[in-house]
Amino acid sequence: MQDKTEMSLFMGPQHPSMHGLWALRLTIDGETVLNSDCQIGYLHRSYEKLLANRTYEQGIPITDRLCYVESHTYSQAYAYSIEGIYGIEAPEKANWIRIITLEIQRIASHCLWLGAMSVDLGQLSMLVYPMTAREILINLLETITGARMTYNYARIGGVYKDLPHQIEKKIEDSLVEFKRLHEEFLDLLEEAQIFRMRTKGIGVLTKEDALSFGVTGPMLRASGVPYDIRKIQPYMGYDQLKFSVPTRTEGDSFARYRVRLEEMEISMAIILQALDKYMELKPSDPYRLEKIPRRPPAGNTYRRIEGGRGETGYYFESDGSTSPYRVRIRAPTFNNLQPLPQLIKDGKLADIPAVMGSVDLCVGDLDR
Amino acid sequence: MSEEFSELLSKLKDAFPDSFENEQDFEEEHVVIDVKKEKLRDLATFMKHDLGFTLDIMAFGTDYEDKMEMRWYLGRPDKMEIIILKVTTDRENPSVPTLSDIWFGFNWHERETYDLLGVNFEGHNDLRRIYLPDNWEGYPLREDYIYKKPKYHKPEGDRKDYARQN
Repeated sequence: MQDKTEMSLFMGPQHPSMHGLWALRLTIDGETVLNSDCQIGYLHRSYEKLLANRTYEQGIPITDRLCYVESHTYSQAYAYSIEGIYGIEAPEKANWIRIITLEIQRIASHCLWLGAMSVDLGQLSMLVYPMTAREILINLLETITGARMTYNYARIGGVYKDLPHQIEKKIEDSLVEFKRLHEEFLDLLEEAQIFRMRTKGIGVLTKEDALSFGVTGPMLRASGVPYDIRKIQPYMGYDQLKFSVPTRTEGDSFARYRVRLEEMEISMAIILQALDKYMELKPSDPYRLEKIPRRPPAGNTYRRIEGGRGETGYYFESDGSTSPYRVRIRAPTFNNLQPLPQLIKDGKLADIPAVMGSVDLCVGDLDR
Repeated sequence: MSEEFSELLSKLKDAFPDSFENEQDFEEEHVVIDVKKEKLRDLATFMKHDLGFTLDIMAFGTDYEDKMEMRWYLGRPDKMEIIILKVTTDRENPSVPTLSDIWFGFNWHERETYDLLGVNFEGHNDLRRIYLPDNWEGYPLREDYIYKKPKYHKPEGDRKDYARQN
């Protein structure tokens, strides 16, 4: 038997399975990973300073660029957090519109994740199906907001404009079409032997570690903790809707995949419920507060919402001027990536894409 | 504030009678506790093991004219209340104890604070820059930071001449 030979490998930003600009410095022995170190910061744009140098309203189009996969969640969380520091609440109609758009965005984000993860695991045909499904949702968001990727739809105290005329028909039709494709995902992946073999029992994250690493979102729920901010601290009227929180106890890559797929179904049900609540309101009801003062009172606030990847929140410290003194963005991916060196330790090199894919990375929000 | 949470706070006060500078309400369900630097780690250990604050949310620092503040956000997996531990330190040599060995998730948050604000975390096992290159000078999130172009980005010779030649 040969002696152990260590080799250092730089799984760099140009590697096809890295999902953006970040790198992994690995120490390997043959095919076994001995040690690893994440190198991030390639996309650091110093968002906290950018936002502190602008007025509160000017931050909304910038926060859209924070994460390119689910930009609406981040700008909506921004507007919602600023309402906290002003001490105002958005009108009821705005809240239902927010819930509808946020849930559409969540499904679209999960679709992109599913395509990317399947490609990492060699299921090349599975790239096309989620992308087709995502197209339906992106078209829906385009009808509502007027844009396809960076929506600029959130406003302090409401939303940019009301839902278009007869949108309920279009939403219902789109969801029926999406539902059909969603069942196809399950048929294609669940029955695929290679997919199951490569994800089951890989990258197991225990409940204690997940909590200690501050992991949130589907990744924490796959480890057996039903932590969902929509449930524990309901915002925007989520407490009036009926929905469940899917959890799994295994904590492996397959569990994370299952939780996200179940979440898509639950989001569809939430959209329809919120749409019913929206339709009960009159067309003349306000969807946005008319006047917002330029200067909020001095003080600080931290508000959070449940994004597609986990707890998304903003901390603001106001000194009474038109721009914030300090902004801090609570980005879910920053915490979710931290256990990665532990998850891939003592595993095989080929398991790294299976683990990394299930983390659902978005480097824009990782580096901020 | 719920009854259960106010009971929990009084339990915390009884266990650590002279550790607080003061305590203030922030929003209804967020409470800021201004902790003395020496008692921070004992208090944090008590909060994790006895009060059930197993989830770490985030940690960051803020630069003021005369001081620097470090905040750690702690939560529970089934409740909405957040306790924020706040430690004040001086601006010239900011240094606070680390909590990254109690909650592993604070590791990168503290590295980020070191990177952008220059706060030293006593006992941190891996205190390196996280976003910026290792040879970066200064701490960009400080109020008095002036941006200087890094040396390796500077092209040799006059840029205009170079453009004319090519």
